[in-house]
Amino acid sequence: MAISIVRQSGKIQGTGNAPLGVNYSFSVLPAVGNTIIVTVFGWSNVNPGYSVSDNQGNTYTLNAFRNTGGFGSATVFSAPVNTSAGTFTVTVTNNGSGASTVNFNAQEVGVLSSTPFDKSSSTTGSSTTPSTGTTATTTVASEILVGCQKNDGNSGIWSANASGSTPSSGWILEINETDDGVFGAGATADIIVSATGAYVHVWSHTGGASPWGGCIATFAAPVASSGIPSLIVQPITPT
Amino acid sequence: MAIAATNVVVLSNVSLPVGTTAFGPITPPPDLSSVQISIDRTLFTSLTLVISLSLELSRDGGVNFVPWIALQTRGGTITNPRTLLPVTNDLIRGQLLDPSGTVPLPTDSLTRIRGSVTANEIAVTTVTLTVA
Repeated sequence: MAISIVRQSGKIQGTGNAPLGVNYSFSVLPAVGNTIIVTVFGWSNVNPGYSVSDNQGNTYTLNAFRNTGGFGSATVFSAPVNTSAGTFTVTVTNNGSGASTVNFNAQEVGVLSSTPFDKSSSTTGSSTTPSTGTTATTTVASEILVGCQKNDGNSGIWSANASGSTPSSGWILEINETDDGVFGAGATADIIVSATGAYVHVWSHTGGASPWGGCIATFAAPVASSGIPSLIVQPITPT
Repeated sequence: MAIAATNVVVLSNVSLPVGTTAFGPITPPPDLSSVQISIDRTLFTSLTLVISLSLELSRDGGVNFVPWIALQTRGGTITNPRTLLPVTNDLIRGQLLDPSGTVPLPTDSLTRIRGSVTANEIAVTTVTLTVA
């Protein structure tokens, strides 16, 4: 079965005095066996500044992270859905102190390998074209690539698929924020690929150059079975 | 033609008791898809104050509400590290999307929003709902 984004929260944003928790409850219960991937960016005065949990007791792992060197950081988390009942609420916590922000998108993705995290990369710079850095060659042909970046400055309008992206097109700009003075500017992007490769995404924006930090994590589909059932040959033992 | 943002003061200069204070349900104007709730933190001087804001959503005229978004924040005076100005409001914002989470599902005549503020100490504040 092909990888797909089953549903997602869209852009959820919060500001306040950290430790700051921001919750989102899925309107439809995520399915056991799927994976929740959470992209988070914002300001935090500790690094890594964020953690993710849910009310079901699923365990979230930090798969990729980069701080900007200034106000913020970008992070990708994931968790296999082992438990899902009642209301499924994801909480992103900014573990810093003082004025802080959280911007996140929680995505339910299926169907991935039982241990889907494959490759990650991160990088930082100062320009109008934040990048994730280039991953090592992915292991499996069918993967979802999830990028996230934080931009230290008001950004102008964000675009995905800027020059230098691999693949050069097809990345989806899932959430973005332009106002660094309120929520913290940044963006996410993802794509489902069907070939192994070394991947990178580059965003662009219409504002002025400023420091940024970007990261990417890749998540693999189950390796397809050959379709040939295994044979176990046992000697016949006369009785 | 774009529809202007609508602000509704749901709690105006109230002294929040310890515990939960509910507001709404509110019927927002149609064809809007961004919802924000902000809380005035000007008088949140206590460092031990913990405040939670939560919103619930109904798409069937208020028959059924489901939890949607929430925020947990603290008291104390804070400064925006980006602007170096005092922070006067905490807020949470979400987008109204269809069940797939990929397509906007704007407010309609059956949309209702209600919420609550929970405080562990008495606190004076104003809470404003903005739909845009």
